[in-house]
Amino acid sequence: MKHLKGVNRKARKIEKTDQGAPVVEAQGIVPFMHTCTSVFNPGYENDWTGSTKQLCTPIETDLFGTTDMYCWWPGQAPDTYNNPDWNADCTRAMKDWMKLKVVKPEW
Amino acid sequence: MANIARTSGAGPALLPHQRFTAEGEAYVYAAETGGLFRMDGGMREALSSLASAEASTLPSEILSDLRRAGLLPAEGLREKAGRTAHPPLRLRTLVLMLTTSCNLACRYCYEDREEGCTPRDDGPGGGGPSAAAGRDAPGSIAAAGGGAPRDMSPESLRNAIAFLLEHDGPGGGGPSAAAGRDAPGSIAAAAGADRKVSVTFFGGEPLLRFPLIRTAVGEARRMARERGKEISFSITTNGTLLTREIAGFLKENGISVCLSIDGPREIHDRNRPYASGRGSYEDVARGIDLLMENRDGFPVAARVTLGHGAVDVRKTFDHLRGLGFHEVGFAPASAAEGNPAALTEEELCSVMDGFRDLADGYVDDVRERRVPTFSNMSQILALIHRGDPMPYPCGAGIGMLAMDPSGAFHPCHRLVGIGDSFGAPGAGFSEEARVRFLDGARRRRESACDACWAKNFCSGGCYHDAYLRHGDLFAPSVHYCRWIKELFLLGLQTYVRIQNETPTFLDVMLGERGIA
Repeated sequence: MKHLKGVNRKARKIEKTDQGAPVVEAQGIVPFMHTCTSVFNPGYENDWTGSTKQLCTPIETDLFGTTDMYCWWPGQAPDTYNNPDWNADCTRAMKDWMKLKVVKPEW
Repeated sequence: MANIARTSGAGPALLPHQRFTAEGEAYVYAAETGGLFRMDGGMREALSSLASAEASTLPSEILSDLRRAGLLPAEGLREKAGRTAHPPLRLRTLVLMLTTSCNLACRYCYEDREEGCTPRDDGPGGGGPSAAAGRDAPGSIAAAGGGAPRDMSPESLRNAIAFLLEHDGPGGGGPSAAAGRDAPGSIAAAAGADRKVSVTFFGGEPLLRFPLIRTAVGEARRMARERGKEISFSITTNGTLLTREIAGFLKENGISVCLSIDGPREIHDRNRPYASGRGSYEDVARGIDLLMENRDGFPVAARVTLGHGAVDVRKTFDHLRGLGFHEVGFAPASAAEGNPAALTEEELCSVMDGFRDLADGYVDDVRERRVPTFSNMSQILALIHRGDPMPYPCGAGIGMLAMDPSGAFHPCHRLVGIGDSFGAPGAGFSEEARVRFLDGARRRRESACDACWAKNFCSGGCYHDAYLRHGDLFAPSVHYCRWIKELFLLGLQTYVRIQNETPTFLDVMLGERGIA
């Protein structure tokens, strides 16, 4: 795309595809579909991930969500085999998340 | 053929979108795809001129970009094949209405319908939490009294949890779809269903049934373990009945607390009094102290209901942040027009001004590496970041159900007593009623809301709110349309500011954990 630059994740995905992404509605798995409305959040019994675990938990706790081997989504965190100490200075994600090391692939 | 937003004149039909500027740049959000794009000068001019120009006069690369972004119809876009099917029930959250009784008499409470809410006492002073909470011996079946039971029986609760653990859907893509997460041979592994489910204790005031909660948590954990599932709990409480023992139990068991508090004493006492008229702030504040002491990261969220005459968002937010809440979320009181609790137009404007102020604070928090507390904004930013279409406004009847005290299922806790119930575990779950409900939701989305650029955020709005306003669950929340669009425009602008300043924040902080 020459005149539009993707800003959110969906737009960046569209940029990468050859054709515009078709809209898929109401089929199969629907995202965010286990919480209250986003508009007024009237019940507020769930957090924005749709679970209760993070209800008011600092979102930094999610930093470690991608580090275990059973994670189903592509890890944004470095693998701990090659980078065993990437989070060594971050003992409490809530407070120390800025101390996480940036790991760059070397090639 | 769905409606489409047309520009005036003879130009081509642009699909629903919103243009805006932020940080000196021009952006466009395309509702059909959920894509948010920065425009260059050529695109800006093209979109402006589309009102009068023919599409064929535009450069082909502009037209191509417009089609790919979902701003002009393109082949493959808006194909709605298979739309007769609703998503299957894939239960992740079950809201348990343990009792319809409450010790407060909040002036905007939606429980105050046909059956009304019966305050039991006037707070800890008279009869108090121990008397109220001690009504049920653990495991006892509460007396139902006349008419519909006001209290959920332990048996219903057990059935509910068994249902939750067995109806978390066909899976196929959720977090638990990762092979190996479930013990081989377990039900979850066999069904490929979600491994994680959650229970929300709700009411009335759920702490009136604390003995039942205490028993239920242990039993639910055991049942979940047997089925190879993880179960988490949360509770939405007014906080007045918290004791050291209860607070300790909640913390020890990792039960997330969502506390209803409306702000500083003068606002809170006005909105949330006991039946006698005495304010509840003092008792809530004591409960908060108990929750906050030695909490060691234990999550406590504040949920503020904005009612008529009390819309000082900034003051409320600062007060609650000062009390130590990790998250503060706001929701206007659901109320019929003319109801004294309903916000006026001017008040809605004032709330929006407050939200703008908090959005600035949110950006500052991110910049200065503080945890943002304004949770409405976190939720909107997550929606924008993902950009997925939202065919339904919420998870009612899809990933979320509520059970009333009699043991019957409803789409959500607010719809108990409104519309058809979805049956009960013993009598059989009514898939027919669920589909009927979702049909109504879809009709609304495809008719009234199809041409709206904000449809992916709102999808017609809260069913319960529509019912109160229009007497119809599936009426679009037109009374809020303008406000909602302003709110999401604010979300889009805030999103851009954060992406420009701290581009890693949203990817890292608004990670996808728990989102299917």
